[in-house]
Amino acid sequence: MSNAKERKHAKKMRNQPTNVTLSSGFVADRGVKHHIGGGKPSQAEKQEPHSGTGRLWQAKMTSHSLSEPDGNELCSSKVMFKKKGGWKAGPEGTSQEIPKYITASTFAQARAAEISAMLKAVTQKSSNSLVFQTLPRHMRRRAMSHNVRRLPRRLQEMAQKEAEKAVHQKKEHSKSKCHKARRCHINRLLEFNRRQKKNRWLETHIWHAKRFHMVKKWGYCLGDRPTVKSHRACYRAMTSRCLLQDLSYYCCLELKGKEEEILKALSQMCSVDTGLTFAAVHCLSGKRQGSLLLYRANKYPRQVLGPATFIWKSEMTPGDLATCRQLWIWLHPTLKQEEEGTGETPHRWWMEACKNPDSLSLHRRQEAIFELLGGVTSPAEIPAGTVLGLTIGDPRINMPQKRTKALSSPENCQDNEKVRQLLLEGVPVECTHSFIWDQDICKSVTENKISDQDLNRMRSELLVPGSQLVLGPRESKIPILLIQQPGKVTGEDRLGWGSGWDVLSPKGWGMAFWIPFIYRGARVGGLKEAAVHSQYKRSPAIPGDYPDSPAGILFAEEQARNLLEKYKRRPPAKRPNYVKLGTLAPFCCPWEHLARDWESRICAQDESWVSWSPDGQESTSLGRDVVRGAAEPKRASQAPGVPEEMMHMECQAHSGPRRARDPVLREVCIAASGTQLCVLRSRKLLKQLSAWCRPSSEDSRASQRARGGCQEKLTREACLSILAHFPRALVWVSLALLRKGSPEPHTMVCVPAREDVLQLRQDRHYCGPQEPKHSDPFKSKNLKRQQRKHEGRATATELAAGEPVAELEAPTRGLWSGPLPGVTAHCSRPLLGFVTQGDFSMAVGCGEALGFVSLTGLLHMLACQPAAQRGLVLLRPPASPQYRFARIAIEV
Amino acid sequence: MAENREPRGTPVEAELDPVEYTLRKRLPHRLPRRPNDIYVNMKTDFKAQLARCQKLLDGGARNQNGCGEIYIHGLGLAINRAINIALQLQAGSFGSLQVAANTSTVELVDELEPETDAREPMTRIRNNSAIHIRVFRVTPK
Repeated sequence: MSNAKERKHAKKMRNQPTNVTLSSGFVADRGVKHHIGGGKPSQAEKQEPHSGTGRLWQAKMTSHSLSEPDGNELCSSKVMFKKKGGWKAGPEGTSQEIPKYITASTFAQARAAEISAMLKAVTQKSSNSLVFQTLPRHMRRRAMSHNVRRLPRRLQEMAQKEAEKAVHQKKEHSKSKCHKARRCHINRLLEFNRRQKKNRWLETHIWHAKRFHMVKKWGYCLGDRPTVKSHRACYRAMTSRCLLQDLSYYCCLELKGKEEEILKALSQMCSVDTGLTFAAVHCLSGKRQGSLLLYRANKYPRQVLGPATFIWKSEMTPGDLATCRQLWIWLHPTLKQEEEGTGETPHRWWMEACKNPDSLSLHRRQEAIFELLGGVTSPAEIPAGTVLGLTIGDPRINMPQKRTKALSSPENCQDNEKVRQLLLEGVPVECTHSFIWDQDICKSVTENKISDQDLNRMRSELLVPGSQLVLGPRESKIPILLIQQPGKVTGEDRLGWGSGWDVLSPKGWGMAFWIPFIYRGARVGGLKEAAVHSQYKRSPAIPGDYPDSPAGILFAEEQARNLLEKYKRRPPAKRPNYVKLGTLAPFCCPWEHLARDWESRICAQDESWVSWSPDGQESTSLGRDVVRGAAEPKRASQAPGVPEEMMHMECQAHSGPRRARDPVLREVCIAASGTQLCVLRSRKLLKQLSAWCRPSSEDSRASQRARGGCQEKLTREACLSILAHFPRALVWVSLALLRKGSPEPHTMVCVPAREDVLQLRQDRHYCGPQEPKHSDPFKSKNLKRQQRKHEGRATATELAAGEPVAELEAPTRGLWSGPLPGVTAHCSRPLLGFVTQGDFSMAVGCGEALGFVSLTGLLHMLACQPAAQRGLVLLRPPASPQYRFARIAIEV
Repeated sequence: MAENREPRGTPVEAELDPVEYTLRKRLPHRLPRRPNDIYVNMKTDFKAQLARCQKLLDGGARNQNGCGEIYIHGLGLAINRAINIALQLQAGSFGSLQVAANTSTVELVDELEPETDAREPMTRIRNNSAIHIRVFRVTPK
């Protein structure tokens, strides 16, 4: 093979002039260097730059680098090459490289050095691969890595060395203890404790770790998603069966003290505007669980912390204000850091115990209610947030032999008066009492738990294998608390979807409850399933959908970083060019920019409105005129005119008199008029917006009723009064696609142009406009940079250290670099907001998305749209030029 | 599953102040379903629901003989559709299917969620009519 190659080379070289021949020889040298990986030959060459033979030999080596050097063959080839090669033909005198004489000793020395270097290079393996991996495929044999003798004899030695090395390395790695010792219980526990120093484990961690992809989040090790394919199965479990999740990573804060004091301290952290607070009557009695939004003290409507749920411990003697009350607040772990500074006496509880339920009658009543619950087929049928305390036996004893499906049997579903009473009134206050509130009892329950090992031993000692284990008085009594979760309560469709129960058990009992639940047919979900659940419920997911909270901002940053890294891993030709697609921010949602842009945009329009208002203001109630009026200034707004400061003042002046009229809202306005972003969460305003978003059909009576009659009409006055209070606000909206399309996170919500709506009205199957291709302003810069790099490589002057610096400076191709220009007017349709959660919804059967839009933009859009088409928007994913129609809705 | 609509103009509604309470409708109380119970709703396509009933009567690939009878339940607005489905089934059967209808009243619970802290949540009951149609096979004479 080598001979043939050489001959070919010689043929090629025959008619070449000398200088070219030599340079090609140089190229061949480089090839050798490359092949052997910086071995000695280059050095040898330096020593003897003028010897043609040396060069020849090296050229030869290209084909022989792997095989052993064969002296005979080399010699013969050299001779042959000399005969045929261009050297003989070339004029000898012209080249200065050919020496007139050579000293034999130095020449031989140099050759000797070369030969030794060559030999060394041949014996030394340069690449990272193992010896047997360098063999050509047809020479490989099964189990070569394991058995050295299967290799060719000449490689056996090297392979032997390698194998020894590998064994040695492994030994260094291995644990100090043998396998058996490592599996010993105490050692395992020590090891487990060491491993959860940084990220705590839940009680069900080991169960999860075997079946789930785990992630380290919020200081815990949590199951992200099951390793089995179970997206649809989990969805079915959510809708009709039971989806189980370990939520013990939620933090519980216990507040103890006088009722008024607690309420007083906490009232600063929440607002009546956003709904009920800690002081709601039914929650205060301990009958129901409440949920609310926490704000930093006295900072409403800005600086939200996040959502929280809470339960008060029910009082045995109501009306006694002097008694000490207990309050549990459940928080997502991302909010913990902020919360702990503000709470009064926050200390984590973790559960308790009970030996003998003293009030037996109460226990009986609770039991009776639990029996009744068997007759309720869906948890959504009973009042929202119902709390029920129970004291139960060991759940491990009644476990079925095999995993079963949970089926409600018809015989315990009698539709009697008692069930009806329960559905109407909920659980009576007395029955909400549970010993789980008592820390000492909880502790004793945890300590006196019979271990799994003992339980199994007792089972094995049973006379009849597999019969029921009767522990009698030794059986532990566990206090638990059941809290109903109402599922989907907002909106109009799929009411009560995803409702369920929270079970609070004492510490240490997690696994004891977990396995029986699974044996009774529950399916377990992880964080991903929780996200799907909240999306189908159309409720905001906890850290991601609170863009004004510190946790939300952190989450967004992290997400953007991950997505960017993922994007950069692909070659530029295999990833979307977001600059050309007109997507300014594909990995994050620039809420601040968005809100600011809309504010200035509207202010610019206001100016033109002022000049136009004399005939327009009277006819605002008609709506249509507003449309025409607002559509014209749109053109004006695109031209950059008045500086932003002035526009802001203009806006303030407009809202001035109205603010004075409403003294209650004035304070809110002062608080909100700062530059900071806030999310509109006032229920009153949201209700109004939600009514405006609906398309008003011909059946005006129905829509009137839906609006509650007393709602204001959508007028410019009303819009301005809202905008004056919340100049830079976002609104949480849900979007349902009309036809095709499944939105993804960071999808852009845009305002449709008039012709889009017209076209949709003419053709029901019209799927939406397309975004024209944008030009890439960074392309020329990129090209220049590339050219420079090429030049640098040609001259070989570029230093190795210089290159990474240049790489850092270079912007990622396909991404917008530098500060963002005006976000709203960058594309052909003005940008309204972004989607934070979005996917094809199996619950509805079409694409559904949740996200935030700018309040200013939304009001402007609604005012511009004709009443029948109100609430139509366009959605465009970051990596697609296609817009799709969607309907916007605000659910309160 | 059936569509439940608010009855119009009930006197209770007049008393309510929408500023103080939000109306939240709860799901109707559901009894466990047998395989041959079909609850008709207004959201699923009519044809799909009809086909489902037909399939149950004919017997799918799994159970060769199929059900001898099915029960079609409709509540409120869906009563109309339930009747429609039953009649369509009968008309397409060349006389081998008979229908027998029962009507009933279903109690529905509306929850009134307070908007202010000082008020207790309330529930109120309203009635809605429902229909249960038994569609069964007879041997044609």
